Amino acid sequence: MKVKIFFCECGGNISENLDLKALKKELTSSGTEIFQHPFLCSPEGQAFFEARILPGEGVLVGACSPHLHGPIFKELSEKRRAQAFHLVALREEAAWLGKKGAYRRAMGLLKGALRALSYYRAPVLKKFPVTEGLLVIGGGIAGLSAALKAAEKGLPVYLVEREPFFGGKAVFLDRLYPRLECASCLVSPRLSALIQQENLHLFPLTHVFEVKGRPGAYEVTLEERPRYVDSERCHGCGECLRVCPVNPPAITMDPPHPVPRAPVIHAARCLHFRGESCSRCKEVCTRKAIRFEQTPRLHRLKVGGIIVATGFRPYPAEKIPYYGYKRLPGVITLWDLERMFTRQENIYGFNGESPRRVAVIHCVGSRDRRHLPYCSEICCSLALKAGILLRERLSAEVYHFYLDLRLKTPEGEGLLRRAKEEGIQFIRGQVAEISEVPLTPEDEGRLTLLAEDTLGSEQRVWAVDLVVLVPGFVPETGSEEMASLLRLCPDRFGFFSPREEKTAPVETLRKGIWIAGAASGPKDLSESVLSGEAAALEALLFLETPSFWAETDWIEWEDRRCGRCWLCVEVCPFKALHIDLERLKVEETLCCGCGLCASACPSGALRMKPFPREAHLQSLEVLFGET
Amino acid sequence: MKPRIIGFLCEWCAARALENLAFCHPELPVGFQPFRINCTGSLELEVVIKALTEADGVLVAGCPPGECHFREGNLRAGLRLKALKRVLSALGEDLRRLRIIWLSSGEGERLGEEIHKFYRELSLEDRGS
Repeated sequence: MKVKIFFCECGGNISENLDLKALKKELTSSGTEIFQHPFLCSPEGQAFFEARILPGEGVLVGACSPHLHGPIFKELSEKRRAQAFHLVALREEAAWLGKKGAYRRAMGLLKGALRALSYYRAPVLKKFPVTEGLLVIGGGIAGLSAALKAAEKGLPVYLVEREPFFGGKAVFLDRLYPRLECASCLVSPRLSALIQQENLHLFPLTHVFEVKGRPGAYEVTLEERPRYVDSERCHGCGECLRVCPVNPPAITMDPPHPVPRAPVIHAARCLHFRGESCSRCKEVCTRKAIRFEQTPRLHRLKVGGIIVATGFRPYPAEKIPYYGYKRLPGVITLWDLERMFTRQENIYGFNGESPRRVAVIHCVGSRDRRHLPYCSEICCSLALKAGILLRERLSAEVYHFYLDLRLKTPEGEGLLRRAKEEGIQFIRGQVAEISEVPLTPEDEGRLTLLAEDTLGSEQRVWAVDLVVLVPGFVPETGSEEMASLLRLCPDRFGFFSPREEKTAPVETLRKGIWIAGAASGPKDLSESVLSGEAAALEALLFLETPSFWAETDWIEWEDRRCGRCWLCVEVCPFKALHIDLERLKVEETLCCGCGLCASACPSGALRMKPFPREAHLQSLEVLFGET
Repeated sequence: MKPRIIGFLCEWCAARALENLAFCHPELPVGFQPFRINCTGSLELEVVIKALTEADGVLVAGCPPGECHFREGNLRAGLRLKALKRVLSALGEDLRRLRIIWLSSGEGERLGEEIHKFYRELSLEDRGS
């Protein structure tokens, strides 16, 4: 087989760090034809590439990561009926890893790949049908935006939310940055739309229990925990909320705009479930909607694709002991404060009175190697907004302790000006400690806050009544489980990594699974909506085609070599192999081509495609054998 | 000059970690040769042994437990390589030559550090690679 090599210069990224001329010279001597293009991925480069491939030839591309443009080149070479295809990441694995070793690494990659190509066996392309339904995991603003868009287009959508009510954290924001408009006025129309969409099925109090199948045909099992209230019957009058004798009440309907509009009974607090004979809520309900006898229910769904919008949670501030969160009264987080605002609760300071002086502490845990080494980007604006509300509503003195103010959108600066005009103070520096020991006898009943003021180059102490901590963002609890259920790759902070951060931000490495909202990194409301709708678009594009082409037939079984130990069947994580009359059968809709069976086979009876064991051995041979 | 360390990198995490690292243009040891594989679980011991006989060191880098692209490939690889290490130790081989790490795609910096550390531990730097 004749092999043609294509080098991409990547606009200098490769050609400036790697002596392509010398590589060409050395490789041409072994009889291969080599082409070079400044941008092989550009339309012109692709045409250049396509025009030079003849049927039956082998193609080796030396360009960037196969995760970037690999599929493009592969499809083009398949279109031209090339016999074999391989791509090596000259840019990431040679050109960019230091100039000294670049040439040698590149040569190793290319020669290894050339040798491997002669063992290439093409997998078979096959059409797979796509089921229409879409599962959206997470009923926050990102998830529900995605679900609404997809449902509007007519797809059957299943929206799963772990909590009793939809809306996520957005419904507990009181006002929105930067215009201080009412959050629920913006979010509630979307929530109302949820109930009106006919082909949108809501699953509150539900988690994903199991995911099986393949892209286009997932089989999902959901587990719905009991609400103990029949939301079909209940019309949300709220009579039951008033009669519950427990404090805090065991039956609640928390959010300002509850969807579904039916309360939930918390069994752990409810007297009925603790063996007492209380049934006051049941007695008072005119609709007979209270159902103490409800049990968990399983739902089995068939869907074609999944959108993951599991969101974020604020970094647990109690992990930073010197801030005293959950230890000192009067130390709360921004999210506690927002909840108090939305419920119109009174806000009390350390001594139980309305606070006269409030400290807003930015970057709680953020940009700190011991906690979160990153900046969550949107907490500054949340903090600024909260400071203004505290100033305006409680007429308290407000101090911001910040590291750097990072305000998004053009209106952000205007809001900062407004804050300064209202007399809000900004101290640049980190807070070292918050303690209950008063600074002077007059400050009895106030918290003492010790902080550095880096602009004044001094350490200062304040007596404050209320401390609002503004923690950074971390992935929501349970997103790890979700990662392993769906086999997504989280980054080192636990956020889901997109296939490509900039150009494919809602796609994942898995076909048929998309990510939306803060599950892939801190996002504000508008960005969450954006990514939700972008994910919905991707999902629609995929789910509205009746079928898609995918490679199959990844393993070859050699009857004569097989010792019938069936280790392969045991090892397969996808249960794609079974035995039929002493012969190995592969269920191709289940096989992912991972190769675990082939590496487990003690007699070498299984060969992987496109590159079997010999290809790897021979590549190594070349690496060490020559030069 | 022959490669000194072969790095078998899982396509879905370690190879991506290397890509992320590459964006910072690090200076990796000259003798480090990356070798992409589909999954650490599909890496056959024959291939590892072949690399071990030729190279000074072999690095196998796969996804952290629970994050395997193929569900449990990394666990299989872990078990297999552990067994291989026992065989190698029985044969009196220097076990430091086979290094196994688990890291996710975002951990490019750590991969770089591990490669340098591996190099130092095998005291390869001074032999002028």
